[in-house]
Amino acid sequence: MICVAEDAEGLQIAARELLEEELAKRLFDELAPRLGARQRVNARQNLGTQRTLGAGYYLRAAFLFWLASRVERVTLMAEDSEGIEAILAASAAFQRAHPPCPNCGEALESALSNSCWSCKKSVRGGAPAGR
Amino acid sequence: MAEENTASETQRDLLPLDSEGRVVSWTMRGTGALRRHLFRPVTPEAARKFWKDLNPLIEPGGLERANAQVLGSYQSLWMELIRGVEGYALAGGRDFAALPDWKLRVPQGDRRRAIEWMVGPPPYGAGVSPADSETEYETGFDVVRLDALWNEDPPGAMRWHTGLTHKFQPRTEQEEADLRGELSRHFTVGGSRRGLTRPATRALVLVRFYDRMIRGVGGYGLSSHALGEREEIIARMDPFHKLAAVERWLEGSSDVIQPDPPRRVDDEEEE
Repeated sequence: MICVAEDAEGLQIAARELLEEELAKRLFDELAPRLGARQRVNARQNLGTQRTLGAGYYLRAAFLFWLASRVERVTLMAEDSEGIEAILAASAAFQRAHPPCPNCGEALESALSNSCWSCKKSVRGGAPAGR
Repeated sequence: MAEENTASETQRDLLPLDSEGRVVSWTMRGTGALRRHLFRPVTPEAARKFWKDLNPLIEPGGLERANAQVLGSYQSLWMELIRGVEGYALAGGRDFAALPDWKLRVPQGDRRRAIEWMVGPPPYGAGVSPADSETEYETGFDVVRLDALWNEDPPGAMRWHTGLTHKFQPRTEQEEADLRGELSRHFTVGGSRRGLTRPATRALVLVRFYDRMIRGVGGYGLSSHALGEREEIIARMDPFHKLAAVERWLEGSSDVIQPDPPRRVDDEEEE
């Protein structure tokens, strides 16, 4: 039996998948009005199906994202600190793969994108490297 | 004399947490027969076992493997607490309770109904009144009100106790973080990728949170006095009432008119 809160490696994977999933949902909302009915249904069915770990990892990672925004105001337990480090590492990897648009700040589809899917402006010379 | 009457009436109105047993009864629509299930008092240990049994396993796709367990945990709580039943007639006037396997002969639907009416979910064993959860601005406490079925008065008619109150210390950000942290402590069995998730037992976490945050109750009593002291509340409050109160408190007031949700592209398509 694995205690999810103590499995930093698994939490990092889950956090990264949640971030990818969130971006995919925003992309879907943007694209949906231009898709046909069947395409829309297919695209929606694919959302959230890429998870590779047990459900507990995603629930714990979601809690850690919530907790990370409050670290200065609450006392953390050791496993919370380790978990937050894991999701911060996942966030950094996500940002390298999807750097923010220099115009609107939205995560780009990829580091090689020439334009932003959200504000539609070009990302001249490619996107800046993520932090 | 008038004062004595008032005092005894007040005591009588309190929900008696130390009643010797619990009774659930109902009248059959077709025959008009009254059926009664007589139980031992619900102990914290029995509640703990019930909630642990009820806790679902979650499969990798997010599907809960719960149905069989729900049925099983209701049945096992009934088996553990039942002392006797009345209103089950046998041909020739034979005594149902004298049968060696009378417990197994009580219909499963009756067992489940009896447990539901005794321990919830709302609106039975520990229900919620319409004016459910609000902040008492004068004192600063958060107050939850419950209505609950509890035994009979008069015999044969279950009694509603209404306006039972639970008064909580408003939670700080630290307490909220501690609670969420405990609720997110899950386990996986059979590997991180294809294994089953055993979630934290939500009810147990919430009951511990109740004990931490409760500051007062109203409408509950023991045979000699109204329940008031915090330590006594923690020790004597019915575990299912603790759960119902803290669940309602965390949900916040639902007695409000909500704005309509926005219309989505997919909604229009489905129409």
